Amino acid sequence: MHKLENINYSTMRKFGYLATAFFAFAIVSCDKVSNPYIAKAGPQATLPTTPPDHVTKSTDSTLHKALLEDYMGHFCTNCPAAVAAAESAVNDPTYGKQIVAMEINVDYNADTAGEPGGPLVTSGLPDTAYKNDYRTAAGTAWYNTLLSSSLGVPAGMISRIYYDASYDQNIQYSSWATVADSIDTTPQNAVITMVDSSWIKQQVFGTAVTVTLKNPVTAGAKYFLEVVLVEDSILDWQKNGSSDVQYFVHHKVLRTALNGAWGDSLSLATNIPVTKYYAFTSPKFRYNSAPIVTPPVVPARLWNMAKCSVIAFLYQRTYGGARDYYVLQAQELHL
Amino acid sequence: MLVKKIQIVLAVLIVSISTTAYAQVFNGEGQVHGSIEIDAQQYKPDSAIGAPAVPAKMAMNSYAQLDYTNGKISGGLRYEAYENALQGYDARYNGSGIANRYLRFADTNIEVTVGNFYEQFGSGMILRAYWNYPLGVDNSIDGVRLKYNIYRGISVKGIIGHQRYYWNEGNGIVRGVDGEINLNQLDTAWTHKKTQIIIGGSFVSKYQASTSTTYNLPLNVGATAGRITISNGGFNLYSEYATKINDPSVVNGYLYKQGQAFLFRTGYSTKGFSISGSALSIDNMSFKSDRTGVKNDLDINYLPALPRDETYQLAALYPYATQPNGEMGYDAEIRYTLPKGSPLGGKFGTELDFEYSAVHALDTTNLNDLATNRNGYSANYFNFGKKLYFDNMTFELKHKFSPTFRMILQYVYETYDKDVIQQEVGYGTIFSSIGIFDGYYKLNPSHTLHFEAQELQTNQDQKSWAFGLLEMNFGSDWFLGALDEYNYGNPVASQQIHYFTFTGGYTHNALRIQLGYGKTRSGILCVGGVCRQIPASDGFSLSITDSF
Repeated sequence: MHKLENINYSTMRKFGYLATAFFAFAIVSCDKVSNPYIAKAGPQATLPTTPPDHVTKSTDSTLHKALLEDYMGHFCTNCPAAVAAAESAVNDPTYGKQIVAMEINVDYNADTAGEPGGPLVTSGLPDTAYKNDYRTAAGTAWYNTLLSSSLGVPAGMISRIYYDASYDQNIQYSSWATVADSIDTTPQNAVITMVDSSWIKQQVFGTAVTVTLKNPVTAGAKYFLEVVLVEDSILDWQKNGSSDVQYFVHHKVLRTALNGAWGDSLSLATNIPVTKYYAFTSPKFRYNSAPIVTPPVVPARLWNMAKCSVIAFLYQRTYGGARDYYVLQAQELHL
Repeated sequence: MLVKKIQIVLAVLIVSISTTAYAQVFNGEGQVHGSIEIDAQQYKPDSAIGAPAVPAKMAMNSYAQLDYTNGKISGGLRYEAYENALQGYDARYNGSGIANRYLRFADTNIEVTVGNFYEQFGSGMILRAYWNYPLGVDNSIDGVRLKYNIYRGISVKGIIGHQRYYWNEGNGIVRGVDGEINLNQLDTAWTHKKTQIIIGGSFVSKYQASTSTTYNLPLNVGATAGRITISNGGFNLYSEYATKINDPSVVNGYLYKQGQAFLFRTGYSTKGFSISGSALSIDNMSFKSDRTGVKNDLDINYLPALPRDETYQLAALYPYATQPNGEMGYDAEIRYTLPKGSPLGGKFGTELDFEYSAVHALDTTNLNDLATNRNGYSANYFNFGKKLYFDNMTFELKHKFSPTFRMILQYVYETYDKDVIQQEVGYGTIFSSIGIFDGYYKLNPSHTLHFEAQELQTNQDQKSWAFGLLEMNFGSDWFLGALDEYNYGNPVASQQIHYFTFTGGYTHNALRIQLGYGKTRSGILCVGGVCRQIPASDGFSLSITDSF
């Protein structure tokens, strides 16, 4: 090999420094992005491209289902009675399968312990008692809008119907089963079918909700689809009369709404199905499918995907009258 | 802000002069060079040609460049005034001020520039900061540039700074290094070899902060290029490959696909004959220091265009604009001079030129991954895409009949996808044939008559055009001219318009003063694949250029 003349050690060293600086510069001045999207805890998450761990599909498309909203709070001493009424209705062998129920924590009685001005905690309880906040923006919005005349919780609605000529849709829990039964015997207004896909490791799920209008209730009404996430069998503190129950079983607790408090507007024509897609991720998601034990394996502050369901309901707006906000159909599907 | 910068530059200039004077780098014979250009246009509304009413009635672009060199120190500035910017130039140029200033120290092996500078790495595919006044492009870098000759034949350059953005600076920081090795200069034994080889490599990175709540945007985007030049007698070859990592931007629709470009040029020339060929592939190579930039704003790189820059009026009616998001093209040209004294060459010889170029879309496959990886598509670089963006076949003959008369004949056939190239909708592809006659007749030693006749025929767009020009040079100083561009084939009778223009002027050495009056049709002006819109106008125009 020909020897280059006059290239001394000093020159080569300078060149080496420059080459090293060049490559160092090249390496540190590039940001290779592997995931273009910013991971968001909330709606409009991105679904993974890998196959889901679970896929569930709703199969009961011919039942008219009523929505039972049980508004409560963990400091509410009478709320366990309402919870029992809801459970009784849901478990009724005749019409229970036509009721989609959820617990919605709202107002003062759902405040967390130790907050200024909040409910007082019985002395001697652990510092962790009543520390989980189950209130949601959607639940609060519904409560403030639709149950404004209620005197606090427990309160409830069945398909958001005006039942007893009161000023709003509030129905005493003692009447929930009767009202739900009466609704379920009416013709089916709409069909909702759902498919849920879950990715456990990625803490994300997607749901496809198909709505078909069958029997319009009010001519000219506008339709909205609400999709929410609920978690069943949460064990946490609850007042029951004068008692503090540490592992009270909360059923179908509203965790969040996937599409805001008032859902998505749908343009529906009779018998024409419309499908909407939603995706949701949260760093709070965990997964444990074992039967519940005390203390719970997945703490109540986290969300156990194995116990979560998506509830979708179609309601109408008439902007006045007794059928405003009326829920035409509800559907629930486990993740 | 600008005043403060000027103060800093002046301070640096004074300090530099004083300190370098102490170091005896001044030789006491400083030189001043400069140039000036003024272009003014009166605007009359003309609904027939689509010339809008311009409230200011006239506009003017102008600049004055002043450079001072003394020994190893040089410095300069350019004052620009757009009062207001001519129609077709970005209105963000409106205003006046010092748009460019620099100070430079240059010794045998090192050069340092602070302030505004222009630079190009290789063919410019990853960095080209340049100024093109007619196009309204100035992406100069305001910062620092170092050049260093490490050893005979080995040189490196480093740059860092912000780019000019009209009267401000872009948000992004541009950093880059370039190295080049001339293998023949490394050793004196190789210097006189017939085969000369130069290799080079570049790396450019931009930094821009992000406030996006949707995308994980890369804050630092790097581009790398390697190149080689080989020459041997009449043979020459130049090739460069450039690649760029994920650079989501407005231009590419926020795709994260890696970009790449490949340029290959080769040719051979000997007396009376030359042949050349080029190939160019571009895929997602828009590289701007601001990811939200559009059009020519804040371009870091320059993507060359293979098709020739047409100079004749009608041949330039449909000019090609490089497609940074993707294209594949090639170009071939043969020039041959029929010798003097041959039957076809005549007494003075005849030059023949044939050139063909074509640019296709990339051959791509949609990945349907916009919800996940956002690569968008994959490209097959060994196939042309089915869509033809542009092709141009030009045949040219130059012949000198006598010492007093010479002519140029040209025939051009063009295919032009206006929707793609001009980003329009509904125009489709235009097929045009253009015939050109260009003649010069010397009436006497001081008077020359220049005349052109051109015809463009097409069944698309505004259909056929004719063009005529008559220009007389009186001695070496004065000239008068008239031209007419006539859209005689326009299917709308009211649009069969004559675009008359009359010009007259005076030239003396570098000074040129030209006064014109007439109508200008709307269109686009492209130089090297970079374009700007030209709106229709009607009125007087004045142009003055000079340099010293």
